[in-house]
Amino acid sequence: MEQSLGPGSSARGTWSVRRWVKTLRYYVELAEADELARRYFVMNAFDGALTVLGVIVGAFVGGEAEPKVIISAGVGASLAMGLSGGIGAYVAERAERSRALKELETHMFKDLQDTLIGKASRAAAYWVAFVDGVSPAIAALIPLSPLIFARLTPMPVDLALSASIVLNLVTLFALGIFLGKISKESIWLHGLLTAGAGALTAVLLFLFLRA
Amino acid sequence: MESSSVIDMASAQIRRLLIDALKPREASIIDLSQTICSVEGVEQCDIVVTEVDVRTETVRLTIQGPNISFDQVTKVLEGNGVAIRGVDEISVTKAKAPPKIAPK
Repeated sequence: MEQSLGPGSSARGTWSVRRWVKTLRYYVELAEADELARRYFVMNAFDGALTVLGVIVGAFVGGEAEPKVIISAGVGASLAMGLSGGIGAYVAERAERSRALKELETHMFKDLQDTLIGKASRAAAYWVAFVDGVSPAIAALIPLSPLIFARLTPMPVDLALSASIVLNLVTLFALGIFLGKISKESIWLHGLLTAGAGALTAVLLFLFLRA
Repeated sequence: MESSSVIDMASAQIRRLLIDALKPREASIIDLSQTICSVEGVEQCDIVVTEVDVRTETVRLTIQGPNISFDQVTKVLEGNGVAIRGVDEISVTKAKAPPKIAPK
């Protein structure tokens, strides 16, 4: 008989994505990494969106910028942010989780590496790294989509740039709604706060680059 | 002699176990009891937390069933990060031999 490790992995038989996701969710919940992942998601998505906003506003003020150059700069920045976020979070989280596990092992007088607790601890580090890596990349790629569209179609570059800035603010507003749902407070207030931060950044960049 | 003792061991079935164990606080007793109940031969599992520490909890598990496999229960407990401190009570019964059918 195989070891039954929690309800998520107790069922045996063929491997399925559904069961894998269920097990991962169970591990993340057990390791109390869901709250941490949420925090990382918002922080890094915000980072990603604002970085690309900087690139787009810079190109908009500079004028005559080729969509190809903006897309390359934006995608490059989002990939670098994704990789740096993912690797950085994994290394930091693994170290913290490893320390916590060793501390627990001294309390238990038992090796916990191959137990449910050890597996959950490792899964939590992977999950947090994944969220930390993917969130800035997604938040950066969404506002770049009008420029990608402009490159493939005869859409005017100025219109694509304006659409990118608007889409960026919409992404920030969506992040605010997510925050409002988490805090169980007004989603509109949080949405306006995050979108306002984006708008303020855009205005400051605009004034600074124009000067 | 050896073979007969093996047969005797096999016919002696564990019906009830009282285990004193230490578990990490993160491990939920709800999940743990459900996982133990999924072991073959286990019908009921009761867990009582008797002591709470900063990182650990002392628990008393009462496992009941028609034929509990101690090895499997141990594997499940260890797999869930539970350290068995001792078996405090055990109830074992000898399986009744199937009734012989008289030849017609």
